[in-house]
Amino acid sequence: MSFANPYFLIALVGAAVPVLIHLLTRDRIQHVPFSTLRFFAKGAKMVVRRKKFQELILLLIRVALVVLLALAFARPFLGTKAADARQEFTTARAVVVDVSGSMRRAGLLDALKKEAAGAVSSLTQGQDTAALVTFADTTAILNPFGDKLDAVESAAEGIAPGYGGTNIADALRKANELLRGVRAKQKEIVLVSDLEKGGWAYFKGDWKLASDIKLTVRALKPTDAGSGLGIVEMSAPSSLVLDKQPSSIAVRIANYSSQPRNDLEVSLVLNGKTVETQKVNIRANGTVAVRFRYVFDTPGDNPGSIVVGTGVSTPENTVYLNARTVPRIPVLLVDGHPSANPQADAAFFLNKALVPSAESPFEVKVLPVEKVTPENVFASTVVILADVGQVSAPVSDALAALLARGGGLLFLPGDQVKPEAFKTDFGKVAPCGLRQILQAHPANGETAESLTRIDFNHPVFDVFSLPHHGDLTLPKFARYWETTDTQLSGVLARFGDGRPAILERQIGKGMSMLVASPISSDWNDLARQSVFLPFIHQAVRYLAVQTGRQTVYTCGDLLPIPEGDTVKDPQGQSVSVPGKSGITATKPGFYLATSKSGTQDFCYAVNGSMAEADPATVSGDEIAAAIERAPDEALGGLEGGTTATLDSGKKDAGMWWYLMWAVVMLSLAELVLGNKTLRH
Amino acid sequence: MATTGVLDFNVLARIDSMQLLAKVIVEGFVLGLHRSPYRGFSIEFAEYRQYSPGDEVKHVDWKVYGKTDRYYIKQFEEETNLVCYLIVDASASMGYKSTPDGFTKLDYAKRMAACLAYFMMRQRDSVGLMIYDTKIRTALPPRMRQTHLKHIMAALETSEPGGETNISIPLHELAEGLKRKGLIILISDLLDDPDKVISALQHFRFQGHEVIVFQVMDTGELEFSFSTMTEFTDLETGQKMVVSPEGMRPVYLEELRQFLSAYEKGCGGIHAEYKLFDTGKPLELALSEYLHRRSRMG
Repeated sequence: MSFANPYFLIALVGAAVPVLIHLLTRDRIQHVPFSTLRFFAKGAKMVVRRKKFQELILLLIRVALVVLLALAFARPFLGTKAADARQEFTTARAVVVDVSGSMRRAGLLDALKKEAAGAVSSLTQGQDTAALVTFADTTAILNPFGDKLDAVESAAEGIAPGYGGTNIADALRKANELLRGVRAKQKEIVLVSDLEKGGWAYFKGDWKLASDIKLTVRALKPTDAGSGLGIVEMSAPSSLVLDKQPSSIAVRIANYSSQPRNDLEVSLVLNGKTVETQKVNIRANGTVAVRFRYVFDTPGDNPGSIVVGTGVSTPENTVYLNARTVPRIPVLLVDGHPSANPQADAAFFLNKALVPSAESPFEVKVLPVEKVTPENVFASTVVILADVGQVSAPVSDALAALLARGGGLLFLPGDQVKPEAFKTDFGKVAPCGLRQILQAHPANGETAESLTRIDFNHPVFDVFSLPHHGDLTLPKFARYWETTDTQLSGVLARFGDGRPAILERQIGKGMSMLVASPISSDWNDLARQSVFLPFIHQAVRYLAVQTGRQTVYTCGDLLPIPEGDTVKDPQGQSVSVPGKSGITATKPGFYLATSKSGTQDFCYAVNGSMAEADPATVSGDEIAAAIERAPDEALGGLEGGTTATLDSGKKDAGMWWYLMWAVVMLSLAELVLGNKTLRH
Repeated sequence: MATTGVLDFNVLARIDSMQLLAKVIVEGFVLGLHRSPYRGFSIEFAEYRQYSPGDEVKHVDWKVYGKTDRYYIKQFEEETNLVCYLIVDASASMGYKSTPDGFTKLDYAKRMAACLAYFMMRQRDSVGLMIYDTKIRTALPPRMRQTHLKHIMAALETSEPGGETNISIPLHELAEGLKRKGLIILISDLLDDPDKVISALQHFRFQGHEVIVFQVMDTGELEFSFSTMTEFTDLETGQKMVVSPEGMRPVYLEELRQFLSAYEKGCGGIHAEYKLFDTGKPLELALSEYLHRRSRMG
């Protein structure tokens, strides 16, 4: 056995310290005349012997702690054949190659291959070693360090950029780790990239390269500036309800060139047809937003794209979208207090508001609470519990399952609700608990509270945000529930006294919402106000579609396609789904998935990284200055701290960890035994 | 240091004269009472009866004779209506004190006995005193003269901790020797076999005596607040034992609890009053206990 830092063995002298402390502080026996020994005759000697034994064990543990700590810091290693057998190279070079979407620009691919292959070919077979690392959003090690440079060189010549984003810092970090595992006199990282500025933004300055690793940056520039245009942002609905109202689709286009662009055509293509084209002007180095309004009146997927310019649609000038439209939202309205008198019926006003005409987007099924079955819940997207005090256990489980799969739940608790029963039956699915019913006592002398502090940015309330779009402060609440356990919930509106009035909480993939006052004239006049209908519509729509399946992804994202489904990529080629986690999107366009039974299709729109269009770059010197460690720089950070202190040929992390584990375990034993001995 | 009523223990400890100390404490205690302790205990007229030959001529009421021309004898209640025996344990274990400037248990017991004797004398009760360790060392028969009080105080002042505690034998001896029914007040640490002691006290109860047991324990004995390794020496037997107090404390306190509980239950079983005294607590409690018992005896 040898030691990497043998000077730390001097600390073994410290093993004498616990012995000295033990000798100096051991109990001096005091002599005390006492009235009688009759009360401690039993076990006195045993206690004394046990204490002496414990003190001896404690002393041994403390000595062992000091010895193990000294050994651990001396970094022992076994001179085994395996450690010595590792070949020591003259030069170890990690070639880090950028294959992000921005590398698809003119002239970059050839330069990329040339530089990457050149970095490998300049090494000497048998003396040097090389590894090939590619990166976009994520980093991949194509060839780890080995003794075959030819294989690495051919791999470098075969690389091709994709459509992903750029993360330079992650790639350098992985290369740094690779180099730590190889013995070499000289260690280098060669970074081949266009050095896109956004790709360096992930570096937080929390680590540096090991001091024996040098960084060389080969910056590449495109031979052609291209169009200088790029789509940097898109906003499009993923899931929506079939409606007569138009939905908004917007993109932001950037002009990176120094020349203004006038009469630039921007087209919205849906279901294979160009539905609208707008002409916009963009000043030099400026951006412009283009908004389309479209009524999605076709149920199911509506794949589409927005194309910039008059040329052919390519991934560079196109963003893809898919608005999935559901025909009608199945809503289960559970009536907790059915009554022949409509005024007293808990569900009457809600039903009237949700289905005012045959063209309602909601398909409402009203059931008294006793008749609700789990099957009713399963068949619904949104369940409204109107003054429902309690439900059966199967229904409660079905409500939890509804939220788990992305459905919505709306609570409107009233007189039928008891806080304890509510907690028992709905504790896992409600956004909060209930404490007691309060009578409104506002300070202004009125007998009812109004809604205040309304979150108008929330989708439920944004329709009310503009002037003359409904006044949500008009409804008066004479009675309402005081809520509890609201820490994990978002409060969308409050009563005048500051207590939460409307709360929501995401549970599973679904959303649970609670209005702290039911739709009843005994509690409030909400049903008589003009805002009632739009409020209920917005709330149910929000609960139905806000957790709808995502339809737009970016290259590198995981598409949540169930195992066994048939998938075709944007080029129409079949892709197998390897596991339950789905497949990774690699190409922009549409991935079409068909379920095993062939009954359900789903279209995933995939875009390239929009940040790649930005031609701004970072300098290689800046990167090197940020992560290279000066020879005299103090150790710190996760990477270099351990790397620089270790000679790669001597490190034996296994023994270090065993020793430190022993120290930890002995410390715990010392803590327990010391405490016990002290008390005795 | 704790205080006893208005007086600090430090003050009491400096009073050498047992009688003065008793006077200070008792008068202070009496002043604190809301009613006179003397009520009902003075010599009271009982009844007249006709003279019969052999009666003392001095008891003839001549005023009645002048009015009725007949001889009547004036009868009084007995001058002293209670005989009280103070039994003080002066064994070696009573010489223990946990703090250098505090009372030993014997000091505490002596002061308690002195106060009780003084107090009883003020109430015209007869007081006797017995001091013992393995055997009876001092025995003063019950009297109610002031000179007798001085003898009691002197006996208390001169008593020192002696040999081993052996309560049962002296108590049996004393029980055999008492002729008049009265009140037995035992002041001791009772570090003896509880069964034997209770048996001896039962002897008094069989003879019609009322029994009060004041068990005196030091704070150190009750709390066992030692911390470092200690070699304890038994004051009575001289036996030595090295003990780790922290480890021993639970055992000790449990044993002590059972020991005290045995006395409490035993005394309750024979209808004897039992009171545990901590030498850090005021002496007046003993007087209160005595008064309470005394009032029940009429």
